[in-house]
Amino acid sequence: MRFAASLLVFGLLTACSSQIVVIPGAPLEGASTSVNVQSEKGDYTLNEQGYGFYTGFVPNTRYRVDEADLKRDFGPSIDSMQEIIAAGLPEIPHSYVVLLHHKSGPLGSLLFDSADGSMHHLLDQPAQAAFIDGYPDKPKPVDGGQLQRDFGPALAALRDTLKTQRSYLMLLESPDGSASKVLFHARQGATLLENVGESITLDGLPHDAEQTLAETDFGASKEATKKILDDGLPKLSHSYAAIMESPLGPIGEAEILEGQAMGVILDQPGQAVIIDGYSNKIFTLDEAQYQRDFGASAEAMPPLPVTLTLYFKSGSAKLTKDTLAIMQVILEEIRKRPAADITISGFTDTVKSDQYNNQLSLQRSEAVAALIRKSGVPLQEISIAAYGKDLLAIQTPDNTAEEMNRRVEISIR
Amino acid sequence: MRKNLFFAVLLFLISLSVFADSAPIGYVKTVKGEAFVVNEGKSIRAVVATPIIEGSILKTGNNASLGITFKDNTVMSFGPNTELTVDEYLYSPNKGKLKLAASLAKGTLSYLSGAIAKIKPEAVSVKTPTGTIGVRGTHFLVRVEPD
Repeated sequence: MRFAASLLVFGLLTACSSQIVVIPGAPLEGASTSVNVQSEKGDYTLNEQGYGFYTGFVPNTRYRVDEADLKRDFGPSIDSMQEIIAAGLPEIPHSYVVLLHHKSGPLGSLLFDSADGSMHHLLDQPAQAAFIDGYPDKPKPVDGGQLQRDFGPALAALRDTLKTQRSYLMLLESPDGSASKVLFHARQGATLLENVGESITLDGLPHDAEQTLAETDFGASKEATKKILDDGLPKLSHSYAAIMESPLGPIGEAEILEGQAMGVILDQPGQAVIIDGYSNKIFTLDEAQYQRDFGASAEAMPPLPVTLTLYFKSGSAKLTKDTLAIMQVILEEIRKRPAADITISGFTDTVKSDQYNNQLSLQRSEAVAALIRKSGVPLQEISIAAYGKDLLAIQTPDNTAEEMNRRVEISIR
Repeated sequence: MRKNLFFAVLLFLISLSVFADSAPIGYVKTVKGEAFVVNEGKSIRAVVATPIIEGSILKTGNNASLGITFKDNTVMSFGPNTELTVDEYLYSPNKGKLKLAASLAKGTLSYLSGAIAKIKPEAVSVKTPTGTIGVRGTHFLVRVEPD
């Protein structure tokens, strides 16, 4: 304000060469009312309101100016000055520096030293500003309006630069409308993204990607994802085990003994479990998948082996007439199999000794083998086994005659 | 006495054929396309009647398939791009020596149980790259995707 007052005095000096006057009362609160006059006859300081000072014939003498003189000499200029003040003085533009806080990091501080060394300002509050054009005012806050006016474009450019330069992760909506969650681990800790549009920088810092920016960054990949989904995802193929209806009777069960699916027991027809080491999902193997995955192996399945039994009279290796009829069935089964191989196993009941029965069971096997060989049917291999009193078909005490145990079992494969 | 001696020798010979390592434990019964059986390190093109022994590695190529039947009436068949090793096969029912252990490295296996599973259900297992499966069922499938 001293500056404004000085200007006024300068104007008065040029307008009137014979006297200088200090106007009564300061127009602005806190304004200085002191005037220094330097002349050939000496310097003089006038610092009381309402006094005049002659610069001509009575040097260094002040006098009280009456209201009438004041009005006559300065009335119009005082009036116009009052008008200017009432209309508001224009704000003086300053050069200043301001400390701002960006959410990507701590506030920090800013130290300003003027070139002449007369001023030192430490800024350590957000939006705190200091003049750097020589005005000694203490640092003070700057409001958002001024920041926007002075730095709007620069701040916008900075925001854009930060956005385009940062790598970030964003949770997007699936093309089918569903959304999942993402747990992102950064050095600073874990962040859970659970709302569509949420994003985080790869440094783990908050990030406010706008929808338009996400469209720019991810538009192309979203399109590509959608196309892939529209075209149909390739069916994931897994390793799995399944248990099926069986031509052999009860289906039994299968148990996973190791791995992710350890402990899973399959005991329903078509029940399957994934065993690829990542999952233990249990599912039902449908016909389409069975055909796709196991069609070829099902087709390659060899004819099922059959086991037929021939019975013998006590103590004899002679085939009965009934068993001769069964022989025809046996030969037929052999003929319809590729590279047929057979096992002929002889057994006895528990009458008499082990040695006796071992020999008898072998004789029975050999008798059947001889008949088959004699028929000339093509065979890959004949295996002969003799078990004597072992492996009874029907459990009996020792020395018990039992027709069901006096037998030869012939397995045809 | 002489007969007993003869019987003992015969049994010995039978045993020998059952337990000798290279004795067939089964045969190839069906084959389509390019399939191979590796016996004792020697790879031979699989045809009907190719013998399978303990330790055999069975391989099928693209569009190929293979079916085998073991001595105990166990049946196995394989789809394309399959590799299975017969790790262990014991079939001696009166001595209780029963075991069928196989490893499926990749591909598809259809299994129908035979006498080993019937007499001793816990004796059958199939190893896969991610674990072992105890097969106490009569009709079992397993598929292993190559890595």
